[in-house]
Amino acid sequence: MNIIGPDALVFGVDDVDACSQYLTDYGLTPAGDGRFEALDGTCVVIRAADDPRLPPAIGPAPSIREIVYGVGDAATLEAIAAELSKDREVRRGEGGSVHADDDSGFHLSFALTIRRPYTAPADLTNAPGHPPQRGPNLLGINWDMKVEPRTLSHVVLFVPNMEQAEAFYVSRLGFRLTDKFIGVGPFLRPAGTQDHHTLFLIQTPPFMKGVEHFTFHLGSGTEVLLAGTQFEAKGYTTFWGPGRHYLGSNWFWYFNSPLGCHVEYDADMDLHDDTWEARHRPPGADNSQLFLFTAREKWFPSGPPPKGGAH
Amino acid sequence: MPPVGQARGFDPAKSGRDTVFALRRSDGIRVYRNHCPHQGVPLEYRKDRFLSGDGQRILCYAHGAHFDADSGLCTDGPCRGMSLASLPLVIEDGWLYLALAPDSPLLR
Repeated sequence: MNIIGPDALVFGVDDVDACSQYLTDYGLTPAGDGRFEALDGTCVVIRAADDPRLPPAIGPAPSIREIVYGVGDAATLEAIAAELSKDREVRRGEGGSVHADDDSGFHLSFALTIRRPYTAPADLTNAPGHPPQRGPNLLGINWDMKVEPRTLSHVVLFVPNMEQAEAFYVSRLGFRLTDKFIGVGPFLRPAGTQDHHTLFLIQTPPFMKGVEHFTFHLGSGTEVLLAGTQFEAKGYTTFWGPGRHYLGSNWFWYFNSPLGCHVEYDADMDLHDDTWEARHRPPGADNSQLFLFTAREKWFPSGPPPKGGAH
Repeated sequence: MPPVGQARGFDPAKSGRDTVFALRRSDGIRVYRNHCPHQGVPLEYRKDRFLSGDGQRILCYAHGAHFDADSGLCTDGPCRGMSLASLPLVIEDGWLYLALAPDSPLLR
């Protein structure tokens, strides 16, 4: 099944204005009707919790209401519909889209992907011992650097039974296990992407069921640091980061949000193919990050400029 | 102090972040430690944003715990049944004082 990854996450919230401001400050582009897009068109959709267009809520607002997966071809939609119809209610929608609940009760939909082609620059590195990527007079950073979320990377769900939840995505939808935190949860990759994970599941008590976080890929670790610094300067609260994960190698910086989950900046995730053998690691601080920093206010070693003018 | 329906964070021990927050209720002022009983993390998603959209509940914007604004009791989410630490306060000549030593662990 050629499932590419999450194309849209739909939230029902109690403060639409706060969420809209948040996602705009995060760097997404408002596209109307509660839609906030990355460069490739993947998006977060914000609606009032009582909006009749929304599927039922799992918990109190704010909360996730629908996870929209993009697929590569119409045959995949038919295959998903046929597979899920075996044991649950499946509704077909516009353009052949398929709507059903997963085994944990999250409302999923599948549609032809909305991802559009785009190009954006890489963070080029000059590493001694390796041919330079940035030639003479090309600057690595500048004051006008603008960080734009490029594509919706992954969503992380709290689930009451992670083995059952994993089995649904692996055996019914063709996801692959890339790595696993023993007793906590699996990192899962659908067949249509090489990204280390587009879905991570975390075992929790049933009343915590919901989204733990989602993130968009930025262009580099430098962009994660820059975007996070700018977001903090706007008053937003860091939850965890900045740092770099061990499983997946991705840079991370997590923030609290008014959407009812954390929102992350992410970059530079590992790619895998079907020859990869999943690592099983005990959960804990060492296995979840290679390093972790705490942001602090900018300062200057010799203090402010001398009074009475420059020397 | 913020108007009813809003909250405000304070850093009385100069720790570098808001370690307590205050809100005005119909029957008076409450001050809570900014420390979610679930994981001990700050609650707000942005400076002074501790409350639900309607201003009637305290929310932890880390993992979605909902708290009763009057009692600090968690009514929904990962730490339901547990409570925010309500801090003793004194109001004198229009000033709000916390009845705690400046080096109290509750202010860290």
